[in-house]
Amino acid sequence: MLALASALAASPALARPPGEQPARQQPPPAAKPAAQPEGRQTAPGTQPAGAKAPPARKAAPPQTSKAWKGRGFALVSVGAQLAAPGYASTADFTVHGENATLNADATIGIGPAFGARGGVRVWKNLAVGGGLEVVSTNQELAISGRLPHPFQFNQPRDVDGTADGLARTETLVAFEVSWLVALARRVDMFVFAGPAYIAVRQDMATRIQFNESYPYDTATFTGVETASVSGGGVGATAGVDVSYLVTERLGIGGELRYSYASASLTPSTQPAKVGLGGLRAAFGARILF
Amino acid sequence: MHPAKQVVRRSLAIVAVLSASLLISAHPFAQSGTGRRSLVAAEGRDVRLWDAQIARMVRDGRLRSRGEEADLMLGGRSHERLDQYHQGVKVFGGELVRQADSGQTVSVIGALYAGISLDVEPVLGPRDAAAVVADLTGVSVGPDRTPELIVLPADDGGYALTYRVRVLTADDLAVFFVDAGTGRLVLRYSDLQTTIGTGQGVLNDTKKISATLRDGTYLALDGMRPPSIRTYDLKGNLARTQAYVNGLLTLNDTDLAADADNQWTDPAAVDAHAYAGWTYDYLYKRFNRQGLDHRNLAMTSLVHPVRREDWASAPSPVLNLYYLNAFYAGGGVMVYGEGLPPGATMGGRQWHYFSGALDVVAHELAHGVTDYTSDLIYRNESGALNEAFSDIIGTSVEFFYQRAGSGRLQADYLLGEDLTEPSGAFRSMANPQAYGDPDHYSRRYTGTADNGGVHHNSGIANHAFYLAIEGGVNRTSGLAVQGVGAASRAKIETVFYRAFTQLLPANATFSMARAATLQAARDLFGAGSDAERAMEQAWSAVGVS
Repeated sequence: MLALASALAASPALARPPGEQPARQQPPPAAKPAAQPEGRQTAPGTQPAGAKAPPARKAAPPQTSKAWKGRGFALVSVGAQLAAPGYASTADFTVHGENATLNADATIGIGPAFGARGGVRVWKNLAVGGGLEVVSTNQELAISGRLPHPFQFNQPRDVDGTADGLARTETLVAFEVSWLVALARRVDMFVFAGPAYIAVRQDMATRIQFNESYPYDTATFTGVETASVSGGGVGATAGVDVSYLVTERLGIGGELRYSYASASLTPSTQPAKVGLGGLRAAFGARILF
Repeated sequence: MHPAKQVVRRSLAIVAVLSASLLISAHPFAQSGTGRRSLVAAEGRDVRLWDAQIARMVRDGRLRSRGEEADLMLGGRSHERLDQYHQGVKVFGGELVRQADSGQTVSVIGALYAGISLDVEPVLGPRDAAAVVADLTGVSVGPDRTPELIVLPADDGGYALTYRVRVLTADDLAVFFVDAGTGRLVLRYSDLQTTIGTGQGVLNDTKKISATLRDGTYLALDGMRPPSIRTYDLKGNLARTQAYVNGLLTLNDTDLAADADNQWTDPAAVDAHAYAGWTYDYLYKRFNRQGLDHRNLAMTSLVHPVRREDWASAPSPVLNLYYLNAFYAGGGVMVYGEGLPPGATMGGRQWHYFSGALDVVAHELAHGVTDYTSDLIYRNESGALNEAFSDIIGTSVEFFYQRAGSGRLQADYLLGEDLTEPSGAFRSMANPQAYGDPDHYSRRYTGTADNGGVHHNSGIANHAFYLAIEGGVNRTSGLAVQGVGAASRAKIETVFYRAFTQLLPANATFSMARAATLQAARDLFGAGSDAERAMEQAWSAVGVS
């Protein structure tokens, strides 16, 4: 699940230049304190009436700590997994009345990611919420194995090869804390992080398929048999989400997120520690409220 | 024509005739007299002479080619076996083996019989001869065991027109020669190619067995190797064993050794079946040979030919053959003795199932290889060479699969050492005299027992094999041999294999074996190679020139 888009979505609640800020969200002038604390500024349109205008000056650059007055955000994203941790697994199986072994080094490929995030502002620019992501990828396995000889004990034959196209789906559920940072007039950024649980269902190699012929002193790798294995683990996720508001409530944005957890999966007899998560990028729509 | 030219032409013609006469008269086979003429031709002029002689003998029907076989070790080489015939009847033991390189003859080794003047019209038919043998043995042979008409050279130099037939009796696998005119038994010799010795059955070693699952039962039928390798359990029925070997009975799947869960518990069947496969693998991997006949002949093992519990009441011949022995019965069939029940002893030893010793199994199967190659006659020197070749293969198979050592299931130069408790052996290649066998030609047995001492005189060639690999000093001659070393044992194994399967004739002598192995060493490893040097020194050390 991509959480990246969330950060910028809260930006409508920030102070806006005259004519652009939503009146509904404009705090009444009377509510304003007579003097703003150091380091906290209001937008030009929020100047109390009657106050002497300050000397003309150049417009201030975007601030990173402008007040966020909105109630929350929601966003949906579509993207891709750019990188993910691989894993190594081992499987034992029986060939010709003797134990055979399989060692697989998995590389996780690039795959599509779909996600949604949301959050509620709880204090200043801080929001809490959650995220959900689903990533679907393929795996490529570098396989090496030892296959027993049909006629003699302890005379294994080494084989190696690759297998690709093995399916893998991860689902991330995260509790996230987000902090809003205004980057420009319409551009905001959320930085977010939090604990995550990542569930995975993936194909894992359980047995080597091979060809052999008399005198059987060698064998040729032809593929692997697989099992669909599922599990999950608790980890963490963090990322940034930059958005651009097109309208008062709607915007578009992009998110970059890194997540990590690990799970113990057992394709046949031996468990394998499988890294989950990885680096993902996504783009999508942002809704502010 | 000018008179001078006529003189020249006549002179040339006379020279040509004289030259041809000299050449022919110089030819061993052109010499007068009767009896056996041995030959070993490996030099250019001798080879050319014999090429011409062979061509003449083939033209007039005195030699017939069995066909050429491509050399399995040297590209371009081929081997042709030519049988001697007299007026269309094969002469027993008359055979030449010609090796060629791209059509050019390299060597001719063999023996022919001269002075045959026999009428080849038999008075008796083949069934009459079979009946004579049946009267003698009480055993009838099946229709596909028709006696063969053959000229038999006698030891005294004469010849007899005979029928030859091989029969498995209660106590022997014998070859009978029956006079085709009178029905008299001319010659009988045992063709029982055995390793008399120590049996071993269960050493509690776990081995794989290639089986076939049919109707929920695992059968001792190897479907993974090219030939059909099958092991039958005769369940102690000696009559069925004999009937099968004699071609009177067909065994079927229900006779195969079987197991319900593929965790085999009959050690006799396990070892017979597994070791037959191992031996096939050795022949293939070491020599690129495809089974006993190089055409993947089926390999059939018969276990439990008698009941162990009957051993005490078994007649002595049955005890010796079906309990305390193993033998190659021809056609790829091996019969393994039952050994003795636990606790029972003979000669102070307990005897295991005879299929339990790898060298014994390989020894028996090597007889099959000999049958389909040189077919060394199982008498006298050729018989001793036949036995020696089986010992050599048996030992070589041991070294191929087992770690060198002196304990159980370890490779050594003893034969059948794993068959008994306490461990014993019946021959030693390293020290034949330790088991009463000659280690030198001068000590050879020259009597008639044991087919002329085939199991004794094999020690001479066995020791030459050992010395050529390991080196050492012959105890009789005191001559030292520089062997090729254990790491190069494959060289000597290959030399012997080549010589004994492709270069030797059926009636080979020790001298021919020396010539053939030297030729093989030169063929394979070059003149002056360590293999040739080792072979030459080894044969000299054992007194064979």
